[in-house]
Amino acid sequence: MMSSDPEQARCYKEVSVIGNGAYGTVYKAIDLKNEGQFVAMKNIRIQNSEEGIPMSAIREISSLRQLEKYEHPNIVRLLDVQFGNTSSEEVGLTLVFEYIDQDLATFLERSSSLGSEKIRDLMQQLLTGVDFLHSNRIVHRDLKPQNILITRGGRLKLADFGLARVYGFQMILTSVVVTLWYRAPEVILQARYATPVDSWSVGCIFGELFIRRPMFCGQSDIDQLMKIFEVVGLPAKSEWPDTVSLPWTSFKALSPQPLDRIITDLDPQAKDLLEKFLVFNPHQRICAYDALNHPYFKDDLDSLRTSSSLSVSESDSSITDSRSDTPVSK
Amino acid sequence: MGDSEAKVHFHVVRFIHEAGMKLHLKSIPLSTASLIYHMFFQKNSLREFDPYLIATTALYLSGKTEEAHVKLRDVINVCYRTLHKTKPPLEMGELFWALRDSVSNCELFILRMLQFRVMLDHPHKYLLHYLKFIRDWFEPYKWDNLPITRTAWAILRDSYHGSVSLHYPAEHVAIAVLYLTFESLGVEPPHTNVCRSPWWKVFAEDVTLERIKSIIIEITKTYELEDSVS
Repeated sequence: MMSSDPEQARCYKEVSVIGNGAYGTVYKAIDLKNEGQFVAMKNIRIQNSEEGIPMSAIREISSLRQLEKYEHPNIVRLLDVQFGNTSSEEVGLTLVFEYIDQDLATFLERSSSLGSEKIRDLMQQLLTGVDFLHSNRIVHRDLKPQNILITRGGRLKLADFGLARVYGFQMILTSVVVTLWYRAPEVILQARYATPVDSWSVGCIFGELFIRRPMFCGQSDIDQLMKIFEVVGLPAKSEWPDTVSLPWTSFKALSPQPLDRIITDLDPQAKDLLEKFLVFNPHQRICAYDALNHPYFKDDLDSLRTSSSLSVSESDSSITDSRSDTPVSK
Repeated sequence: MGDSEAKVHFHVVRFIHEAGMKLHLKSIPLSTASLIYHMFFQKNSLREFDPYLIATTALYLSGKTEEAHVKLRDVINVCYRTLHKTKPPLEMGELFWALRDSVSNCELFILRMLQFRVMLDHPHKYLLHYLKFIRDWFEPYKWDNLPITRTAWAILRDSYHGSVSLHYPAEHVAIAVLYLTFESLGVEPPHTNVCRSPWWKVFAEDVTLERIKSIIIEITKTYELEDSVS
């Protein structure tokens, strides 16, 4: 009966393990029905009960399905949803995504210095993707270089979003440590949070593109907050969320450091934007949409993207140095 | 689709609406349930599946996708009562447990069949927006004397007896519903004669009169069907 439906009849052959994350294993596989194209498969298990499968799981997976119709260029394609073993307690699902062999972390390892135009291009793509998710009422919650993918052609695509509550169920069952480095302070403090958490992560990644190592490498929740406060300063007591258990007084007073001391060669517009991301108070943090309209992006990127100058060269850095409010012609 | 099949679906969607109202489900979950039902039978045959089981499950599932969760117990009791009006209410017992298992298994089956494509874009929000907009073109006393809103809303609800919302973009269906409303009430939006482009062009650039007409034909088929089944 199922085989009458072409979509159900697709077959995939696993070739290797791509990653072992906190949320389970991701496989690289071949789509046998589609000229042997590579795909990335992620197995998830969702709770099953007498009331059927949870509303959150249905809503999250079906909203990913609905997002697909926009085919947004900065979002990884969800190609297929396969059903696996089903019992009265659990339903196994396999989400099949397009396969992209490189994430931002490996991209950074492979390339030497990026150059300011490439950074700007990546940031614009990153923010365009994040803004798309936010305008569809999805908070990524876990943006980091490992789930930002970069295609051969230099296209940036976001992955691993929209399944926080589906994963939430599995997270209890795993002991793999989730990285804290890109977490917004309100998440670490377990206060209420919304879309601004993604802006924080974008800020952390922005800084990392320049210094080529994470901005804040905390070893624990407290350590992560200390590392953040060492840079942005201890927020005023009035800014401290009142619903959190960790008291403001447990941190020593620190004043903010100028970001261009931490990141050398940071041009004024980039510095201004980065400062607007790394704001403790989520209500005052810049949103993705406003960030895209920041003067940092005002030059026409499209013409740059089509030219072959995206790899870094000496001439690039000289342009960077001379860049001012007037556009530089090439 | 054969005529007799269309008649069955007409009755079953009426059942969805009746049971859904008793469950206090609002327009959007009801519309989603109707479309899930239609999508299912576009891929499957009435000979193989009981339409009322699919309808009951579609109701339950739409409560979940539209964040208007109803208890499975209530769905089963209400649907049973709606379907068997002369029988005594369902007792807690073997039949109840069997029905509950059927629906929760069927939910999984529908999700699998539809590949989780159960979150849908409905014309309601567009229609609401268009109505608010077009109201400002009318003289207030004139608007108040015309049942435009009520008629449009009723036409939209009735359209779910068929599957028109699966075949056309939600904006276009909303425009066609409004167009049909004006036609059936015999009114023209103000300034129609002096405007260079028709009123509906304001709402969707890409819609054509041809498109509007074909949506209306599909909607009116439902009313012809109603005449033939009642």
